[in-house]
Amino acid sequence: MFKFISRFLIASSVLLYAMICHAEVRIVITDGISSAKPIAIVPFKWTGSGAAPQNIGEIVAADLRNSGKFNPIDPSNMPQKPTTASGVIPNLWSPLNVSAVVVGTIQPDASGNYLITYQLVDTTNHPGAVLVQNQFSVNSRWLRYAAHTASDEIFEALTGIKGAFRTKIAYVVKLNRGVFNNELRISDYDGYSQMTIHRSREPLMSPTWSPDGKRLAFVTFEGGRSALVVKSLESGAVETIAAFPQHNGAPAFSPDGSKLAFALSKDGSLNLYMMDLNSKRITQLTASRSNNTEPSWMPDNQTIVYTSDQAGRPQLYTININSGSIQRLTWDNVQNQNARVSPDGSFIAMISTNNGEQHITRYDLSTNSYQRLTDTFLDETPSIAPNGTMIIYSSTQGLGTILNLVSTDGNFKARLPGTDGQVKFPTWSPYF
Amino acid sequence: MKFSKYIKLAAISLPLLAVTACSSQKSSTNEGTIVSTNTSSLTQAQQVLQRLQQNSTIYFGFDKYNIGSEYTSLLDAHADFLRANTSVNVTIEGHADERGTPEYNIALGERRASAVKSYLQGNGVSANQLSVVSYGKEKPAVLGHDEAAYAKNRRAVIAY
Repeated sequence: MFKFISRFLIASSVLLYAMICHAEVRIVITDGISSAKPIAIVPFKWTGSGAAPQNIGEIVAADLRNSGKFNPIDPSNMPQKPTTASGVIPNLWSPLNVSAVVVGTIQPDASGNYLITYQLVDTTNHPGAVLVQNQFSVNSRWLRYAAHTASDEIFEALTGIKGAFRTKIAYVVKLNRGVFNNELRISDYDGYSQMTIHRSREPLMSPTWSPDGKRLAFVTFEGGRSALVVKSLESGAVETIAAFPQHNGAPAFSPDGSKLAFALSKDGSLNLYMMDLNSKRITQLTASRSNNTEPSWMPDNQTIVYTSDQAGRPQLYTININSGSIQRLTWDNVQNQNARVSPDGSFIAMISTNNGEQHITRYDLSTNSYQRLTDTFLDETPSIAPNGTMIIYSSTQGLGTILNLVSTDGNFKARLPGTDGQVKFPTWSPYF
Repeated sequence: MKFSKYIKLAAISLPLLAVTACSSQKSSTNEGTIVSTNTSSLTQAQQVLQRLQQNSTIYFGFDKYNIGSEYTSLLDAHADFLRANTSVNVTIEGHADERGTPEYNIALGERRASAVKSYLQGNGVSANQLSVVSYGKEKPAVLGHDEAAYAKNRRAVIAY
C-alpha cells in the first residue's frame, strides 16, 4: 500500500534545492463534457474539528473529469449524500443517469495522520455492489497524493485502464521578466505542486523523462551554444551527453532505458545518433545531407520513428537501429513531424500541417488512418500520457504559448494556462 | 557587463592597430585616411566594430536560405574585418519563424547561419573564426503571427 509514497519521494521530495512556485498551471476544460459519463463523488465526510485539511472528494472528482471519460455531477444536485456504501440508495441515482457513486471519509488519527477511506458503489448493473474500496493513512502533505491514488483505483475499476493521476509533467517556462528567465519545471499532472528544477539565461528545449522517472534529458543553450544534458532529479547532478559543434538536441530515451537517441548537426545537417547509456558509446544512425530529427521509440526498443526532409518537406520515417533499414511512414498531409509513439505502439501523435495550419494529429499504424484532434493555433510538441488516454501539447494564444490537453479520441479538450510566463515543451512522466 | 565589453573591444582593437599599421605602409594613395596616433586608432577600431555590430543581421525569405544581394556589402565588411583580425571569433546565430516544430526548425536556422558562414569563408575568413548556433524559433526578434513579424524572425546574426 505505501510503496507508492517511497517511489513518489524519488520523484519529487528529494529535490531539496527546488523551489515551490506559487503561480501554478490549472486545468480549464474547453470541450468534451457532453460525451462524458455522469458519475457522483459525494463530498467526503470530515470527522475532525475545524475545516477539513483537504477536499478529497473534489480532487477525485477533478481527476475523473480531467480524464475526459466522466462528468462528475454537482454536489448540489445530489439526491442524497451518504458517507458509506450501505447508505447508497441506487434508485435515487438512476434518474440522473449516474451509474456509480463514490463515498468516503477523512478522519484524524492518534498519530497525527489522516485516515482516508473510500468506496465505489455500482448503482446500475449490480445495484449496491462495491466495485473497489481502500483506505490510506497519510500525513497532511500526502493528502493530494492519496486522493490521486483513490482516483487511479476508481478509474481502473470503471474503465479497465490504468489511471495516470499520480503522474507528473515537466515543461519549460519562459518568464516575462528576470535574467535567468528560462525555467524547467515539474508539477503533478494537474499543475499542482509545481517546482523549478533548472534555470538558465538562454533557451531550454525538449525535456523528456527517463523511463524510470528519475532523470530528465533536455537541451540547453547556456554558454551560447547547444548542449544535450541529463539531470538527475535525486541529486540534481547534470551530465553532459553531447556538446558537439552546432546542434545537440531532440533527446528520446528508449522504453527500456538503455539508450538515448538524439540529433546532432556537427557534420552540417541534423542526423540521428544514439548513446548506449551504460558504455556511453555513441553510434550514428543516419548519415544524410538532409535533416533527420525528432526521434521517438517504438515499444520494441529497436525501431525509431523520426522526422526527415529527405524528400523535401518533413515527413515521418522509421529506422531499425540494428539493420539501419529506413522506411517512409507517412505520405499524407503537407508536413508530418514531431512524432510521439503511444506506449502500446498502436498510434502516433504528431504535428500535421495543411493549408498553413499545424495541428495535433493521430495516426493509427494498423489502419494507416489520420485523425486531426485539435483546433488550437500553432500546435507543437505533443506528449502522450503513460496510459495512452491523453495528449499534452503546447499551442499559441495571443502572443504567448500555453499547455493544452486533448484526449486521444479527440473528444475532450482542456487548457492549462500559465500565470507567469510562456509555457511550452510539456512532457508527460512515466508511471512512478 | 560593461567591463567585459570593454575588454572585448580592447582585444579586438589591439590586433586591428597592427593591421592598420601594415596597410599604412602599403597604400600610399590613402595617406589622408590613415590614422597615425594610437588613441584615434582605438577610436577608429571601436567605430568599425560598432558599425559591424549594428549591421549584423541578414534576413531571409520564407523557406529561403540564400543570401540576398542587398546583404553582400554588409557581409563583405564583416569579412574584411575578420580577415584583418584573425584573432577575432564570431558566432553566427540562425533563426526561424514560429511555424513548424522546435527541433525541426533548428535545421532552418542552421541553414541560414551556414549560408552566412559559407559566404564569409568564400571571402577568405578562416573557418576557425566562425561557429554556428541555431536557436530555431526559440529566440524570436519580434512577437507576432503575421508575415511582417515572421520576416523579422527569419534571420542570421553575426555575434562578436
